[in-house]
Amino acid sequence: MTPLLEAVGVVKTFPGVRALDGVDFELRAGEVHALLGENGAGKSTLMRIFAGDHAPDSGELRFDGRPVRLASPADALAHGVRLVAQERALVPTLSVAENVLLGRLPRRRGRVDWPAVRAAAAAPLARVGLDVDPGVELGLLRRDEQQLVEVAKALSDEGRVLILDEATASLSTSESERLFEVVRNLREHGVGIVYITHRVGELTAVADRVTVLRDGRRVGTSALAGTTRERLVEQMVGRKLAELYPRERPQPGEPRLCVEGLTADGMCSGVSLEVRAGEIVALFGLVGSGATEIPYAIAGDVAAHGHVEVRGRLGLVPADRRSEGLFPQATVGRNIGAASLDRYGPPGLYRRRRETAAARRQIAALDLRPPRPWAPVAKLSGGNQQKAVLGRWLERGADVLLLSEPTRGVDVGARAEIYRLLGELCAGGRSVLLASSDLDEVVGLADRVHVVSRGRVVAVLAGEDLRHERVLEAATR
Amino acid sequence: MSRRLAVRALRSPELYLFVVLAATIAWFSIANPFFGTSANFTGLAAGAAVLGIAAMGVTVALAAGSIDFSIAATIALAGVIAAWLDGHVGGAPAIAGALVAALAVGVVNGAVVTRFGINPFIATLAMAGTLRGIAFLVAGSSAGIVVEDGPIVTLGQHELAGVPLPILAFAAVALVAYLLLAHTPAGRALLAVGGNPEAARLSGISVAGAQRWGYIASAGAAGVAGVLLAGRTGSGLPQAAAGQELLVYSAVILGGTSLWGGRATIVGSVLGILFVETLRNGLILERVSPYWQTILQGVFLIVAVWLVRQQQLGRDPVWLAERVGRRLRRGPPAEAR
Repeated sequence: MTPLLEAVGVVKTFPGVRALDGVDFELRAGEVHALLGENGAGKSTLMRIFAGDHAPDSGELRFDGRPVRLASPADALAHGVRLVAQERALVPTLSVAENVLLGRLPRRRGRVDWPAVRAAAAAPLARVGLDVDPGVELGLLRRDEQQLVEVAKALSDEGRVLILDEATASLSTSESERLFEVVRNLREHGVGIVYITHRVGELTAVADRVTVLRDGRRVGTSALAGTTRERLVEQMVGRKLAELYPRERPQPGEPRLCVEGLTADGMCSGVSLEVRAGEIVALFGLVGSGATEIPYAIAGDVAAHGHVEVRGRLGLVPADRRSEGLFPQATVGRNIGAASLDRYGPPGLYRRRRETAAARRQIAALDLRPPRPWAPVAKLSGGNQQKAVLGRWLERGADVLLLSEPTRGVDVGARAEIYRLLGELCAGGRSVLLASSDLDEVVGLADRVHVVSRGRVVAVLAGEDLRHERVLEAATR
Repeated sequence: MSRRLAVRALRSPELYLFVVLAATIAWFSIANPFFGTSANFTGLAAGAAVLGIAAMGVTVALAAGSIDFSIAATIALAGVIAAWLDGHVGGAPAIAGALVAALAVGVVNGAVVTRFGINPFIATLAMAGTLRGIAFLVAGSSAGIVVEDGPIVTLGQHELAGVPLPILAFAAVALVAYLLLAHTPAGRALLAVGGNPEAARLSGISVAGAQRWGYIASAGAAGVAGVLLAGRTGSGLPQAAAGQELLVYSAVILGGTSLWGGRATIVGSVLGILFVETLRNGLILERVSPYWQTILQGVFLIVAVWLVRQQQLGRDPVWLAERVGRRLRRGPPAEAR
């Protein structure tokens, strides 16, 4: 049988990164083919090539065995490719119904047929089980609802290839279940589905075959029945999971951060927690739960009320390095010195030399590569960029570090190093509050996990109770 | 359902601005007996028509996120070209020539911004200077070119059934712009591109194409405005409309259109222009000195934009009523969602 969609020897290079290095991939009609890999493995790049968004440097794409060139997303759409992208590709200022039919609104005599728009949007919205007024502005919806709109958009006409890129990332268990139902139904109708995820656990629910990517190369393709979860994880990370996290945990000391009844409108409500010296405490929640916003509320970046007591200095490492954490045009040294500018000279003056010397100390302490204060920070890998942001707070003398999604977009090797670093900082008496939607990370790293759902702490787990299933069960309750 | 409709109506920015406008008109009517006369209103509306037409084009362009600061210079250039051609080839071809020139400006603006990737602020400001220079060259002097009686003057000064033609032209352009944005696939594509270019692109909509059409719309509308202005004043002045692009943009933003694209309201822009012109007209009637006029216009504009901004932040009359109601019942504050 000729495959529906094929990629042969696809290579794609971005400045400084070889995202795909000769990848083969094959999708048959009526199958769910899972694409598994860590962040940065090349999954999303491959999908963007299928969606006509990137052109491969070399290699070939074939539909029904015939080579094609996809010059634009419009080409891919014409070939029946429907992409549910990871970043919400929706227009917040337009209505839900219009977003579902974006780019192909039904028309009558040259005009948009608004009753037809509402009618045509109703079916796919019902199919994903979203019960909202289709006339309402999309930006007013919750994040998980927006994700479902995104899926509905891909279902709104007859596609032959459906690509779901981390589609369940912000969905609850029941919503994910409904999505799987839709996927199985489409498979029955001969649609080829590419299912991208980094959650191995989900695969049994939907996938027929699975291809694992690592560092832009294909590690292997196998029938799901012929492989095991452990083997897939090993293929994905290239090493055993347990080795990622620091083993030794210090005895906790004095309380460093006490939060009581912290409430910020639309984000969190009545959050209380305590972090002692030497402790790593985690806030876990699915995307959209509000967990990753709580550090901002504690740091005073968003208006909140409640009681926050800090013994020492706070440092906030934000979730989005590029837009919130880094000064992307500046050097590593200036990124590290940015919170301590009053210390590099007599009052009112700034001496670049002192900043550079200070940066050198932090670079050595953090083992930041390359070890040069004047290297442009934009050229660094994700892990080293994160170290530069951490270095800024260590330079400032922060005792309590608040981190939001510290390893998002960081590859496995650098991730292990950040974990080791956090372990060392705690051993040295600092305190860490880590907000994350990465289950492995919070279970592997934290002494205590506060599980957040809809802005509230719904469970606090530690010791024996701190297991994957318990955390996930609480988060989706 | 009817309550929801009522809430929606109360929350619409246009209604809010309408109330602000009505209050301003009421204020001036009490302060000056002449203000409320139909002769004054007609004159006010005819004056508003020129900038109003330009504002329609700006609103369409902003829908796609295209910012065009060369509209005032385009108005002047179209007026000068219309006046010059009028003396050489006659009125009707002169009007056509001026409009073609204006559309060409839009094509160039769009190409410079989308093809060469030049920042729109810089590109259109540079274009404004260039166009002003061309207008002076064509006019030959700052005295401008006199337009003799003919089609152009008729457009600018005559009436149909008691309504000045510029007002009718404004109404027609506003209607076309409204239909375009609300009821055509092209208009919805503009709004999609302005709201999220990435999403529009992935949906098969040409982002650069939408932006180019945005510039053509703003320049074309400015061309119509320029011809009307030449007709109203009976001359093509190279310095016409100088500095008025800021007035137009304030009026459009006041109406609820976003400077960053994706949100555009024609009704709001019409109300915004009427508000700005009412302010100007009222202050003139009050014999406020021209210096104070500009100062007061600035202050009023900031207050009005602040009021509308409150509304956009959700602090609208419904919000106020709920808050007051809660206070009266001594209920607890709303919980976080």
